[in-house]
Amino acid sequence: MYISGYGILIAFIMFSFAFAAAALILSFIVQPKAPGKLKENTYECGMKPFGDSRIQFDIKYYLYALLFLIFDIEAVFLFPWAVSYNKLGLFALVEALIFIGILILGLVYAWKKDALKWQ
Amino acid sequence: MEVIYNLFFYLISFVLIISALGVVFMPRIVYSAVSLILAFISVAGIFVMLNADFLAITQIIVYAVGITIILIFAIMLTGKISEKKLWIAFAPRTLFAFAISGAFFVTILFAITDGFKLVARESNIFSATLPSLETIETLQTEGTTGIIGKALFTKYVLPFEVLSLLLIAAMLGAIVMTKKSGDNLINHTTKTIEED
Amino acid sequence: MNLLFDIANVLLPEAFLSILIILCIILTFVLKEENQNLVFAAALTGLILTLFSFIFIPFSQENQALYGNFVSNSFTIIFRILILIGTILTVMLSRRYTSNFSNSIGEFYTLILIATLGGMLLTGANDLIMLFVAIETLSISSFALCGYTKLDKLSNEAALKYLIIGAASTAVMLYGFSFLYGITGQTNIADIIKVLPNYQPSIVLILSFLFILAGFGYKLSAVPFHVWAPDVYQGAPIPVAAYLSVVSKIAGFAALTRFMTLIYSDISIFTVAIAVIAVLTMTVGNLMALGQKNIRRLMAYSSIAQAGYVLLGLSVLTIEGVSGIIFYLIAYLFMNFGTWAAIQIFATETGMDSIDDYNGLAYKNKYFSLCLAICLLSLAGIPFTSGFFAKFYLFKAIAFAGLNYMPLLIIALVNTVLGVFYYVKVIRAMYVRTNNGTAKQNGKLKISLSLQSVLVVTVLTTLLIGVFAGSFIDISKFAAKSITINKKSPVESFSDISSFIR
Repeated sequence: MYISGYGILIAFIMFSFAFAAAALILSFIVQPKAPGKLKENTYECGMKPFGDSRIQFDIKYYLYALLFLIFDIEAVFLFPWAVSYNKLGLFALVEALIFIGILILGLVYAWKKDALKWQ
Repeated sequence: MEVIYNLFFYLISFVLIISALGVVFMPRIVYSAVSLILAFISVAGIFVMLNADFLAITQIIVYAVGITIILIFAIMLTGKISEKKLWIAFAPRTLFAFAISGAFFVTILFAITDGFKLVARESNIFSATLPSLETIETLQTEGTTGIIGKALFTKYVLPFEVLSLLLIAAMLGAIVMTKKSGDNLINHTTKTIEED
Repeated sequence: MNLLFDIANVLLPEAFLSILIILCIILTFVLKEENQNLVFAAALTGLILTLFSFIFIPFSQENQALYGNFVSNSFTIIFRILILIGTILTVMLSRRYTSNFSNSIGEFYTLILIATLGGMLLTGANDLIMLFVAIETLSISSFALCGYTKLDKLSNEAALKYLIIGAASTAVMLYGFSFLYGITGQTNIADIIKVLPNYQPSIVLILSFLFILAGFGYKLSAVPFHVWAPDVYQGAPIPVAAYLSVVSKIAGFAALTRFMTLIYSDISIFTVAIAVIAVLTMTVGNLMALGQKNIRRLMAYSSIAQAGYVLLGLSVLTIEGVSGIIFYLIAYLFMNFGTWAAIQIFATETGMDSIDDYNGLAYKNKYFSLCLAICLLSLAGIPFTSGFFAKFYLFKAIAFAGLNYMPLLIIALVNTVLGVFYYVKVIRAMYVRTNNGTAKQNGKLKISLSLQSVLVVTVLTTLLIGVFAGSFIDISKFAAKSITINKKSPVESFSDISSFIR
């Protein structure tokens, strides 16, 4: 079956899972256990946390996420071009350059408009 | 080999369905988002099994990474509700929605299995367009990425180039929407949002 | 080189427009905020040049470009010209509107231009993927434009509604495309037509049609998919609302007409579906418009109803029907834009948009009220306006299509009468009622030059189309000829419904 090419990948995933699980289980078995009230306390520096750990983020993070996504998609479209670059020739190079050029224009726009500047 | 293939298929499908249900039924919206990542990765696994390696990579790069980041940031932006417990209330409205989506599901299932003939190859709906064995062979040895690249730069060159302008439009829109300065962008006729 | 020949022969206006877009983006970040009105000048000159570039495109022959992704024939050319004219009017309408902004002026025009590029590519798209990319280019720019006035509550609501419903309906449409691709194994429409006759019809084909119709229905605000329209038209910036109600719709109609005539023409169940949606669209649009107090919501329902009439022309699937659609859309472009221009003028000067605010307007602003009245009467289809000839020609095409279509014709006529009521309501407010209390519009409206020219141009064209209706009908007929319809006879097509139930 054609899945066999992914055999190494599957073996790798399985190994990494097994390795992490083994480390955890092993340390659980080997470790000495003597829990106490003092031990579970917060360490001497800092104070006890209060309130919710999740706060409302600023919208500027969202702008970065959006820009990241846009360039992410650009990368996805350039990936097949890179793979079949040898067979496609000059015409495809020009096309890809136009594509990249227009998106670089977008980057320059974002730069000039201070969208990339942390305010 | 067939057995191993089927085993993996059912394993991935199981994870997919469980994580998709998790997206809907998890009590906290952040958990739902994490569950969604697992669902996206399982879909990538299904793509791998269908020999669509490019789609699998796209699924991981765009959905499991890009879209999820956007989603989690969106959740973080709406700070007030992110910790609210979300349960589906069984109001009549919800039942109505369930009925509609159920009917939709059954219709599509009926259509694409050609009247519940369970083995798709027996039905004649999509059989006219099944790829030949040679095509499948080339796909297996070469992978789909190069073929997609070729199609993208010959047959679909016009949509490809228009896409760059589409992405620019998205970028312009995003920057205008999220930029802090811009306080006078108001309509002539309507009230503005009060600043907190 | 073959590619350059293609572009020169088929895609020249689109190539011009793309260069213009890039130029506008560069101008947007090079110019200082104070000088950004230069982008307006660049956009306007560029658009007019683009309009003139149609001279170099062979009008009467059919040409394909770039591996059959785009088709240029007289039908698509006339729609592309209409879209460009609509965009020029939108840009001029925006001049006064954006002059209040202290920033983000250039982006406004750039987004309009990108949306226009999407619309123009949508009219001639001959490949499912091209069609999808074009419709997304149009939609995504429109989403951003709808929420452009971001501190405005209604504008936010408009953008959100438009975005969510738009995303859902495009997804459904894409699903329909995937069925069509699954059946035929082709994305190019020309190839699909070759494969489809060998295919035994099944429910999958019907589902693909219904899903694609849902996608187009959203763009046209046809009735089950219309719920976004009133809120968006009320909340979005007025030039954007005008753009959505005219340009976006024209692009959608062009694509739907090509889709219907090329792919789904030989099975009558599809035309029945279109007819049902058409009847629903005009009836619901007209009935809902009757009770509206806000003129922008009124115009939203009015444009829903107008879309219903045009869909009716599509449901008969004859060459006459298609030419009726083209003529109707030509008239609709100008009369609807005229009305929106008047609404924009009134809103800029007084900051109000309820119908009661128009009370007694005619006493101080004779010419302005006359212009608005002409546009509204034309929309209502009162005799000797362009709207009347458009409706007459469209209904004639339906009447000649056969006795089966008689009920549709009667419903359409009843709807036309219904429509007169709410258009006249605004005119009555201006001419009959007196202004008591609302002091804001007591004086004479000061109208900026760009808005004045839009209003004058649209009203004059509306009148001219009425006078020279014959020549416009000839143009529409000529454009419709490039559409081929391979319809079976009714008896034949009724028998093939039974083949779905196997």
